Amino acid sequence: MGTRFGSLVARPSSEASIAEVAERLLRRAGVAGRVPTDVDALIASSQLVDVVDPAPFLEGFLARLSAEAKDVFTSAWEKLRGIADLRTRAIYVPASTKVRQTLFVKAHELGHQVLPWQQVNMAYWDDGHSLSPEVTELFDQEANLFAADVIFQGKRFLHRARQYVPTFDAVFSLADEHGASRHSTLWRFVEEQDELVAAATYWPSRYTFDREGLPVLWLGKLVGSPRFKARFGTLELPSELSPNHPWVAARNLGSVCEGDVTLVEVGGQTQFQWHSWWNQYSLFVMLRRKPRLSLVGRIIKP
Amino acid sequence: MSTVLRRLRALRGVTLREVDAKTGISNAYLSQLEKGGATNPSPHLLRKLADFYEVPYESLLEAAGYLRPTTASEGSGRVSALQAALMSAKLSDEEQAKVAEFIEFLRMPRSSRNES
Repeated sequence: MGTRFGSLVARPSSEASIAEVAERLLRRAGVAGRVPTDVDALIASSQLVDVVDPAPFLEGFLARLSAEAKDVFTSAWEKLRGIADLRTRAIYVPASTKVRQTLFVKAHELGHQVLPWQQVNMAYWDDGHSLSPEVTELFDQEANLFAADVIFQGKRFLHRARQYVPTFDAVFSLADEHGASRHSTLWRFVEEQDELVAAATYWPSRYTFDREGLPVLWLGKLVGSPRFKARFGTLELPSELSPNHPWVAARNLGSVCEGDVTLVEVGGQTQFQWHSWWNQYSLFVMLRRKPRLSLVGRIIKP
Repeated sequence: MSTVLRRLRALRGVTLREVDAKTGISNAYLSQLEKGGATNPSPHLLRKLADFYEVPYESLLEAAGYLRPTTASEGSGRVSALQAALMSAKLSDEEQAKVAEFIEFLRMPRSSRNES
């Protein structure tokens, strides 16, 4: 069973407007072109918001709850990465040892606060109005894109990404340079490539098993370079992977794996190089149309 | 949505090309929106149109069906608290209700938090 590449890949149509807001903020804060991006300087420069660690308030709040309610709240709290309170202009980000994740969450919540069309007059909330679920989801996607724009410094990342041959070594190196997580760097790296490159993530299922009773991995997010999206919209990727699929070897071996694969599309088939990497939670696969001449062992493009 | 946009443009007495020039939204797309051929305009475009026509942005969100009165079963107070605080997590209804309570707690002045 396969999933067509074009059916999952999309960016919000507000992409250009988001990039404009991000660039304006980077310049105003004096951090344009400096990596890793000082997100705290962006927040300070926005003059709109405070970043608050909500942890000190937890004890007082939990004291009001019944034991059952505490369990529900604790379960929610563990999933919550951050809150942007549009009413008070505050950003709540729990303190974490995961510095790179915290950086992204702060930038994401800042996006909610500074993208002009995400500001809805509070009188409407008080009047008992609510946003449709589609718009709430769109606002979240937009905040993710804003976060990536500021962390990867907009179009400056394009020039940097195109200096590298598409491999996970390149992704890891750029992630360190930008203080970003490896998986968020992978998405941005692939989207900025000028050659035919794509990336996919597969999540392990807790409920679906293959014929041998082993849990399968499900296709989640897909991204592609502009040329890949234009050329391979009908390319079929496996919707699920059994644990003995070659791509899953990265999980079993604990290292980046690679090989070649032939994938089908409407009217033909194409051979790709693949690289896979397991980050302890998900499997990431990078696909690159197999070049006629391979420069083995190089990271930087000649 | 199409009727609202047609009426707003008529009131301003401007052409599609003029709206295009001021908002950056192509006149072909504007024409489709006004004829009902295109639906679901993105909120960022509605914001530009609201600024240009000098009308509340929320009225265009409402006309597009993106902003609607909360039903009694959804619990207007809870939804209000949650949506004015966009969260980065997928939560169950029960979890959302508890987080909404926490957001309201965070908004309280310190003295009220201590009393409660």
